[in-house]
Amino acid sequence: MTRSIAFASLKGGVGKTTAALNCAFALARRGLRTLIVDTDPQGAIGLSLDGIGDRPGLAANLANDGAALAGVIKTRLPELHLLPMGHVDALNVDRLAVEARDADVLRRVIDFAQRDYEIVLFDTPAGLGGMTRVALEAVESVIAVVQCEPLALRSLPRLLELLAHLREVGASCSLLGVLSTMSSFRDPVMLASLEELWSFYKDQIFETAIPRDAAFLQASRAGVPLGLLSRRPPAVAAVFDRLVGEIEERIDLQKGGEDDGPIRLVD
Amino acid sequence: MMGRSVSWTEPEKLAALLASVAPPRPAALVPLVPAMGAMRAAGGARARTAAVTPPAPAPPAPKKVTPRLVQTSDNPSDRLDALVGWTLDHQPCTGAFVADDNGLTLAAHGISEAHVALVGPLLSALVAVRAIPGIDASRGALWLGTNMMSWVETRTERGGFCLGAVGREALSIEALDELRDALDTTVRGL
Repeated sequence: MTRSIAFASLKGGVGKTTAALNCAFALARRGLRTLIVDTDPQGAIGLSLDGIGDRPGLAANLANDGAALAGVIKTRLPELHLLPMGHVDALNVDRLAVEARDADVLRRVIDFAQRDYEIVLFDTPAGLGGMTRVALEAVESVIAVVQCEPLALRSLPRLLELLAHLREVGASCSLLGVLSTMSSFRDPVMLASLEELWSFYKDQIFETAIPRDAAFLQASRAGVPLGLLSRRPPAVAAVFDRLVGEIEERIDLQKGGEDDGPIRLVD
Repeated sequence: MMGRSVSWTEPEKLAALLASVAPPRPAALVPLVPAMGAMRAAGGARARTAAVTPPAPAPPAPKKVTPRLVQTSDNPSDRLDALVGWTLDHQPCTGAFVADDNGLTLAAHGISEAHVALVGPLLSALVAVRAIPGIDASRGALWLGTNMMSWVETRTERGGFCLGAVGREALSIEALDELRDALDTTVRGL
């Protein structure tokens, strides 16, 4: 069964797209056939990756009644594919979410992904309405992304309230965990924020916190995932390997099957 | 506003929310080694409005209590043998000895002739070390090939005595304190 996870946050700029993109890369590097879907009308994934540009994707599929997975782009990693949002006219942003709900497009993406992917990640726009809500109604799990600062912490319960409400009306989405981003132990406010996250959210917090690191800016400038920033990726890229290990544990991803097992290093 | 949490979170409300959105976790979830465990523990203690008190720490493992040496004989030889026997029984060592501060071995078990021969020069060297201000030469440890020799000294009106133990590793500070106590008990009646 294909697992589906949305990365969501009420507050913008907390690192949803960065987290989703680098998690997708790390999952694919672990051999999981992964699809990342951009549900942000601004096309955050497209803005983050060099080579995507205005390629048609989800928006065009909606407009043209096209196949749910039309426009999927193959990447350098055979296990990683991505479905961009494509160009959305600014005047049509609100209508996009309505059309997406009417067409149930994200559920169809998940349904069609069953054959080719083991996991589908959805990057959502900031906020709790529009495409974010459509994504939360469709997926199985949500990762709440929260920047280590007071405003982001204060907005986090709002996301949980929406999630609880959606579950009351029949959605199956549950909280997979809370991911803290841009953490730093040197700043007392950030440290206090982290401490409160650990204190209040306890087991819901992923053990892996995404640190504040200059490599993210470099990767953004280059338009690549951290893992492709250089031949030897920056050390901070390893946090996503740890994070996806936790994600796999939490969603109990199937292992390699009955014939999976130790492989001799030397023949 | 001093003391208010940075997130303005209402713990009870949040706990109810989390309970309502939590997924069913796989039964055989293997716990990860917690990262930053100490900081997490500190964080739990510092957040003043925590919903639930942090889980009580696991009870410490019961500390191994070493029985004190009780000397029942007035015979010096018996007392020294009892001291060596107690050391072998209650400390992680394979050999033990007692020597005076001239390096003469008074009692020994489980140590080689070479170790016996070493005791004299070692104690002589410690005489010079003892003269250095600020250095406590009354106990110590020394690698000897593949063995570690640990010792304690005590001074009496009749001169100094040394209790040594030979084993695979140095004795702990606590163990050396116990040796010192046992040595004092033994030589007090000599």
